[in-house]
Amino acid sequence: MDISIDDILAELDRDTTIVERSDPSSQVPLTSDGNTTMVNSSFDPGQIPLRKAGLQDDITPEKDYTRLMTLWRNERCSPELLPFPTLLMNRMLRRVQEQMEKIENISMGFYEDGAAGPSQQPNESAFGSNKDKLPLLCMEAELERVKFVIRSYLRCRMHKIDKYMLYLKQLEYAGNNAASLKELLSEQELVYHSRHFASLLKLFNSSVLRHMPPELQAVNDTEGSISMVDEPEWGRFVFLHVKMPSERALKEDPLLERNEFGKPCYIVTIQELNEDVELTVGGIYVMRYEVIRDLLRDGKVELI
Amino acid sequence: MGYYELEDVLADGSEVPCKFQYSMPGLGYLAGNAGKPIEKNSKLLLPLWLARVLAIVGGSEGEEIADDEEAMPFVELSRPEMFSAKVVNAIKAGAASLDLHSVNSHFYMLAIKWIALFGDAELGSVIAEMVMERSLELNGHASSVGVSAVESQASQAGSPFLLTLDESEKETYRRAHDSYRRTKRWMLEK
Repeated sequence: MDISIDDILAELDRDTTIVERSDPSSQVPLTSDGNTTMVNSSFDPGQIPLRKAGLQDDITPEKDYTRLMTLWRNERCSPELLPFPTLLMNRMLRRVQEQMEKIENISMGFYEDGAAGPSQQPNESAFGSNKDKLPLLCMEAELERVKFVIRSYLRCRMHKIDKYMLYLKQLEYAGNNAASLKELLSEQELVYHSRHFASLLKLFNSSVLRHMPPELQAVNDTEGSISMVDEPEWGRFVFLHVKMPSERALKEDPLLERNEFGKPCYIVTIQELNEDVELTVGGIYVMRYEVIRDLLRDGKVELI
Repeated sequence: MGYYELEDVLADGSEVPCKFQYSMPGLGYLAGNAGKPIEKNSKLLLPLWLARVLAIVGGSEGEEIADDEEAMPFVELSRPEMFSAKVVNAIKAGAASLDLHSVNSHFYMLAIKWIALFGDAELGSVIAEMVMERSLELNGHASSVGVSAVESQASQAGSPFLLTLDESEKETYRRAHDSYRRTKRWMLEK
């Protein structure tokens, strides 16, 4: 007779991990606390379920980088402008700054060694600096990689801000809209948006619009035969990958259901066709963006 | 389709045959003789951006029109040549061999506008089939790429099919071809 003792073993496993994990967190209680409060208040919807699970070590440079990569991919593939991850970006930029200073310091150290070295034993010091250069090279290359991702991410957002300038302006005026402009854009992007809008408007006005009759001078006319405000293309097809939810979410997520093969899946409805589609966990689909928008906001799927 | 989209502006400029339902004083310049009125039932070609509005609104400006006629718009759109039975039959017979560029260079865009205007489900399904069939062909042509300059020249000029594409298909082809070529180049050359 087989007695399944998996849950008992899991219990034992968890005990040991708890002990292990509690050690570092008790050593540095201040920083870890600060981190968790930062996480909980941060607007990064994908990770909220994880954080509620109380993972102390949720903020690590590595995880932040993974998160940034996901955000970058999503931003590049989605038709709309996604909310700006203010806290994540602050952390990343701070780390880039620190890392730059660190590299600076280390290479300064090399110079001192080099200055001191050659006078005494040229051969040995040359050998030593060669050996130590590899970490420095790696650090520089890695820094470049991170900076590239951040730059590309921000450029992609700027492109979208240009494209949906009038639409964003309308969101600002509408006011009652849930996605207020402050959450959507960073401070610098807000400045960019308003200034660029102003200068473009000035150009239009001085070159063309002032020759028009007054009722045709608006640049955001939606009443005419064609709306002048370009909305994001909500119905665009995107490729998406359904992420594996964490163990906890697997049990507690109300959206998650089981299909006939016993695999977990999300059920979404395509309004136009009035059709239900099950998105199996781990699968890759081509789907209209408006259908999976909420799942994307909750970080349950990612675009590819 | 955006406001500032060039292809859309060009597509909107193509002309469709219309029949006026009212006599309009002063609008003779539409028919080429300014200063004279447009007679009722006169037929002329109007660009789509004008015809689309005129086919929807109407009545209210004409003074002595009875209430029941008020719903009648200024012009009646007749079916343009490119959606005639002849073309539809040609599409059904073999969409991939149809010279779409000579039918109209903005065929798909105009078809979308036309279908949106009239709710023409039958034409819609015919064109949906057509897009599928032609896309297969398009993919076949786009995926045959040579990496070196000489090879790509050869594959460019190769096919008469590429001369039959409409503008949106050209765009699709260009992108698909580009991505195939870049992938291949990345795989082979680094």
